[in-house]
Amino acid sequence: MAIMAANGAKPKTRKGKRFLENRASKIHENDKRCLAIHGGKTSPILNEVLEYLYLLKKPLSQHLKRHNVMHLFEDETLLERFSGKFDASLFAFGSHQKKRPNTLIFGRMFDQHILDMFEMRITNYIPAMKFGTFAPTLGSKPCILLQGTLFESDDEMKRLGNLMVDWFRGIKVPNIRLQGLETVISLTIVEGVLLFRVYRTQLKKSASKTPRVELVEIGPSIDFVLDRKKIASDSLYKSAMRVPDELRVKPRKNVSQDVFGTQKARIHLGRQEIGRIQTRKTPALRKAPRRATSGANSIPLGE
Amino acid sequence: MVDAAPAAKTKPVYKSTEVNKVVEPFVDEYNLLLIDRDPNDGSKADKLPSSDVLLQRARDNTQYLFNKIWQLKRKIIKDAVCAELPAKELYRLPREKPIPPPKEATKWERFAKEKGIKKQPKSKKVFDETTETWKPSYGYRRGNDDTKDWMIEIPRQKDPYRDYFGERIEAKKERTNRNEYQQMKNQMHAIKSNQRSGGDSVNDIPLGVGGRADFSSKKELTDKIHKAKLSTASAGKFQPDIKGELKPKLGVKRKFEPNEHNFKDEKDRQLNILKNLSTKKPKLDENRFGAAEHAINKAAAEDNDDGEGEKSSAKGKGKRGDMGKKRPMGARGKSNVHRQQHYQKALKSGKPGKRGGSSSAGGGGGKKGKR
Repeated sequence: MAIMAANGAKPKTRKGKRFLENRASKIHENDKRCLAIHGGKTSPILNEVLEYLYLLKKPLSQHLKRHNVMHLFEDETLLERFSGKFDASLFAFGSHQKKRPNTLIFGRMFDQHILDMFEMRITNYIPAMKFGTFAPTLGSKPCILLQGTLFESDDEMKRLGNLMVDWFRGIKVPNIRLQGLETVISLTIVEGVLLFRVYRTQLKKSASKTPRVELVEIGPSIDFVLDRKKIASDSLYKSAMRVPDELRVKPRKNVSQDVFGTQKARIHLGRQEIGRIQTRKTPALRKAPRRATSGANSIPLGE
Repeated sequence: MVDAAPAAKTKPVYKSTEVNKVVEPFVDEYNLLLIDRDPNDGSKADKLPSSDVLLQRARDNTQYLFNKIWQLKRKIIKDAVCAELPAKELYRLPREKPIPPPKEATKWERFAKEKGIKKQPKSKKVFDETTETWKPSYGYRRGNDDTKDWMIEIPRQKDPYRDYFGERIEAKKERTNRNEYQQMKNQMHAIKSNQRSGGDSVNDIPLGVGGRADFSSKKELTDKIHKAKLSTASAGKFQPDIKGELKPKLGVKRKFEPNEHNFKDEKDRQLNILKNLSTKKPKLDENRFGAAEHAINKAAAEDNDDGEGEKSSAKGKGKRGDMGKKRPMGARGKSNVHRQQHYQKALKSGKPGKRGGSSSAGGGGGKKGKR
């Protein structure tokens, strides 16, 4: 399929082509980028929280500081356009209104349309400054703890937990440095209130090989009261969760082991088109010998 | 906590790394995730847990998670001790974009697969004879570049006055054009086969975007655009114009009367129609008489062939009774033929002037609801 920009324009440079290829749908996807968006009106608390979220996800994040008047539960098109422009599939939209003060909407997109979003109100906020001078290294991958039985029992909370993991896990890595496991984000659900706490780990010596872990609270402590939500239908979620065939682990069939331990396998060759196999064509092996049209050895046809 | 008692040589006491959980938590090392399934302390049902309780709980969970991570295989990458995370995640998360559709094999690829032809790896560098160095095999500094030849040797029988350099350039252009054409054909084949197999509309060419050669002419395309413009609720009145576009007649809507009038209105309407039919005088176009005459004679000849023609047309006329619409009649309509016939008769009978004969014509012909 030809690579095209959103308006249908074809790339003219190789760099442009590679840029569009990067943003196209792939088997192995890029790490999700996020948007921290300021709504029509924001409060100082919201400003701080959005700034924190932006810094947490740097460099995979974008901070839209100017006021963007959006009512996400009514009209999603503006957000979808932003998502396409910045190639960001996660977002945190903060707005402050009299009826809904200090509201933060966490959400994610699939195919540039909103998949899930949860609206929550910030009731208790303690900024990071209050806790001390520990600051997590930029770009470190945090450990995530989901605490509370509701995360597994309630379907909507299950989706919320999934969204939180999607949001807060960092880049996908094959190995992790053991000394670099510094941050722990703990999300606890207690009856419609989501408690967001951030800790820093301290590895102490212990009797066994595994160190003793001590936690110190750093980072903001936020209490979210859950409000409205928009959850994707099961079919849409299922299609979003689909794993491409290339990544699916195929079970090995037709393999068995002998009594002596030798592995035996059955190979199916498939149908062979004998007539179309590429072989060396020697005249001697031709099926029908060539008949000369005229000559001493030719047999006259007819009478 | 280390026991610091210098006098007694006791072993340092460390805190335990064991964690007791009520329910086994779900651990996904790939995501560094732990889902704690323990029930909350039931006693504090209405109050939120304090920060100390939360810290304690988080510490236990982190310890559990770290125990699991420390059991993974180790790897040393650039002086850092790393744990090798599992290849796949256990806790699945949704994708951000749909799965790309499978790439359709090109014509050559299909042929190669069938014949079993494998791609021959080409070397990146090529030995250049003239400079006797290794040069890249493609690109502007390539080795064995025949465009840089200042001389072309031709055999004796060939014409010395032909432009061989020009021919080389033309041949190259031909090759590139042919290649592009074949690429385009492969792409179209891929799209068509995707459509045939009902592929997802995700990666299709968007509707408004080029790539379609459906329109045979510029006029056809313009017509389609105008039709599309007209198909809005305001009949195209507010559609933005394209630069240099011929503006068609837009913004004219048909007006429909409501389905239910009151009885009086309807009655008045119908009576008005009859009144109009009887009083209004039809316009006569002299220029059309000649054509009409010709048409009448032709129709008369046809009617003579099938005798039923006149009667059926008369019947049809009687039943018509339109809702007050004055349809402009062409010279070829059957009722028109009859109307003209009457005029002819009137003319032949020597009625003075066309206006004079109009009353009878109006009375005789035209569209009368009742007959």
